Amino acid sequence: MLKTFRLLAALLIMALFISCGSQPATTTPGNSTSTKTNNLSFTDATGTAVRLSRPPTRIACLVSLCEDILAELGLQPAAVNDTFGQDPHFFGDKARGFAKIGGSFFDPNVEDIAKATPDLVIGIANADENLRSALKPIAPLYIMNPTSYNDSIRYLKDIGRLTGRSAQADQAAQRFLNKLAAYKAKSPKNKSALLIYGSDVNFNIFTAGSLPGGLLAQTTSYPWPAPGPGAPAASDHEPGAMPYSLEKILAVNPDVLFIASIGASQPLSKQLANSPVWSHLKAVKDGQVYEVNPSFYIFGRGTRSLGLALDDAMHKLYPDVFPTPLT
Amino acid sequence: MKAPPVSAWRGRRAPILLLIAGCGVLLAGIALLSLLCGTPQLSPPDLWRIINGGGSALARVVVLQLRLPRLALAMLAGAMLSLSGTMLQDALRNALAGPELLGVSAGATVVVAAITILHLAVIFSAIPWLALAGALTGGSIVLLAARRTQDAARLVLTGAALSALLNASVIVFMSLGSQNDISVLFLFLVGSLANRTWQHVYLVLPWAAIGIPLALLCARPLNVLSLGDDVARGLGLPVTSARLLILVLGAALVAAVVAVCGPISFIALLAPHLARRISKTTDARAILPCAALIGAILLSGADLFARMAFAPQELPVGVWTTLVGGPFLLLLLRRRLGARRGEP
Repeated sequence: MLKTFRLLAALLIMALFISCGSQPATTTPGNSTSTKTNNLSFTDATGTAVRLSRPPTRIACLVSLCEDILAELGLQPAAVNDTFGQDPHFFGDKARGFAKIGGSFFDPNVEDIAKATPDLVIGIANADENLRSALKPIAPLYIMNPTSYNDSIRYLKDIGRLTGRSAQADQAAQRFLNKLAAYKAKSPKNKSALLIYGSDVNFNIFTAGSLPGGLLAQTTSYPWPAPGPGAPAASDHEPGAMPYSLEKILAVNPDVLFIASIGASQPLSKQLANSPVWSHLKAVKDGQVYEVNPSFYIFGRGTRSLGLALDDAMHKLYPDVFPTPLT
Repeated sequence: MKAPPVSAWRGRRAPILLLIAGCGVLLAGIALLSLLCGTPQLSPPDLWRIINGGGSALARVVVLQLRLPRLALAMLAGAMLSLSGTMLQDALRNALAGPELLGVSAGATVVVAAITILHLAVIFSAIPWLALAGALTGGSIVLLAARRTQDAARLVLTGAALSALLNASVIVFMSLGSQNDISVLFLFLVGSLANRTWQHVYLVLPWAAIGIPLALLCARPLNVLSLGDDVARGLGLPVTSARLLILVLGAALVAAVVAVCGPISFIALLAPHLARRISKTTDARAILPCAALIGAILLSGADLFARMAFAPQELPVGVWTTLVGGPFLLLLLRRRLGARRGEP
C-alpha cells in the first residue's frame, strides 16, 4: 500500500511539474539585444542568434505584431497570414494586395512563405519556432514574445535597427510613451477595470502580468495581480492570461468590463445582464460592459495597437476626461 | 469482463451497503467543503445563515448561484459518466470501454469547436443545447453504424473509428483557429465545471432523472451479458438489441454532461474499476450504484481541488481527472493483469 502511495505521489508530482512547465520558456528582447554584435545581428525570444547578410527589405509576417511594427516603421510586409493589416489604422485597403500565407496560425504554409521571397520571417513564440528548420533555406526566422509594452518597444527598435529605420522606430516608441504618460497623468484612476476573452462560461482574464492587462494597470485601477511563478498559464501565447474564479471577480466587483468575446448574435452586455451571476456585477448593472476590438487589445501586441487600445479604453473608462483620444 | 460475477449479491449485501453508506458520508463531506471554500471563505454557521436566507448579498450569490449548482452538476455528471462507463464496460466486455467510443464527446466537441473557431453568431445560452444536439448526432452515427454488428469487439472498433473521424474534424477546426480561440476552446476540450449555473444543471437534470434509474435497472441484463453472448442467448436475452439499448442509454447519459461540461476524461473509466475493486464483486446490481457514488465523489472532489489548488486561478477539472485518473487507472489495470498472471 505504501509502495502504491509513493508511486502515485511521484506520478502526481511529475504531472504537476509537467503542467507547470507549460510556461513560455522565452527570453525577453532585453536579454536578446544584449548579445548583439552589430546592426545586422539579433538573438530572438528562443535564444537563437542570427546574423543577417544585409538589411531585410522583404519581411514575411506570421504574427500581427510584425504588421504593427512594419506599419510603425513605414514599411510593408512581403506576405501576411491574417487580415489584421486591413484595419484602416494600419495599411487599410492596401493590405488586401499583400501576398497571403495560407495554412493556419499554428501551421502556416511554408511554400507560400517561400513564394514571397522574404529575407526575414517574423513569428511568435510557442507557435512558429518549429518552422525554423523548414525556413532555413528561405530566410532567417525571428521569434518574438512580448510580455509587456517595454518588450513591444524593444522589438520595434530591434526591427528598426535591422531595417535601417531606427529613427522611425524611436519616433513611434516615443509617440506611444508620450501617449501613455499623458493618459497616466490625466487619468483619475478611480475606476477598476477587467479585460476578459471568451464567453460567459469559458473565459480567460488578462491579469496585470499580461501585455494588455499590464498596460491598463498603468492608467487605471486594475486589481488582478500577475500570477506567481510556476502558475499554469491559459495559453503559451498570452503570458499572464488565465481562467479565473468568477467568485473572485464578484468579490472584487470591477466598475468596467472589457470583453473580447467569441461570436455572438446578441451584444454581450445584454447576454450578461440576463445571466443570474454576471448580472450581480456592478459593471453589468451600470451598463459598463464593452465589446472591444481584439486586434488592438490582444492580437496586435505592438505600440500602435496598444496605443489604439489605450485610446479606446480610456474613453470608455473616463468619457468626461477623455472625450477624444490623446495624441 | 468475461468472468461471471465473482460473488453473489446476497452474500455481500452487508459490506456493499456499508460501502454505499461510506461513499455517501464522503460525498457529504466533499459537498460541505465545496460550499464553504472559496471567495468568500465561509464557516458552517455562515453557510447555515445563507441557507436560511441570511448572510451578505455577495455570499448568497456565490453559494446559491455558483457553488451549489456547480456541486450539483459535479455530482450528477460524475454519477452519469460512471454509470455510462460501467454499462459500456459490461455490455462490451471490455475493461477500457468508455463514452469516447460512442462518438458523443466528439459530436459535442465538433459543434463547440465550430462556434468558437468560426465565431458563429450564437447566443451563449444556446451553446449547451447545440452541443447537446451535436453529442446526440455523434452518438446516433456511431450507434447506427454499430446496429448490425453482433460482435462486441467489432462494435468497439466501429465506435473507435467513427469517434476518431469526428475527432479529426475537431482537429481541422483547431488548425484554423487563432491562438486565443484555441485557448478558450481548450477549456471546453479538457472539461470544466467552472462558472456553471442552475441553467446548466437544469439542462442535465431531465437526462439524469430518466437516465440514472434506467441505468440502475440494466443491472440484470448486464450481468447476463457479462457471461458471454452465447450463454446470454441461451438464457433468453436478445443480445444484439439489449446491447444496442444499453449503448443508447450510455450515450444519452453522457450527451448532456458533455454538452454542458465538455468531455471530462477518466471518470467513466476509473469509477467502475474502483467500484469493482472496493466491493470485490462484478455483480452489476452492486457495481452500478457504487460506481455512481464513486463517480460523484471523484468529480466533485477533483473540482474542489481544481477550484482551490491555484485560487483564484481556475484550472479545468478535466486536467486533474486526467492527471490523477490516468496513472491510477494504469496502476489498477497493471495489478489486475498481475493478479491474472498470479504475480504478487
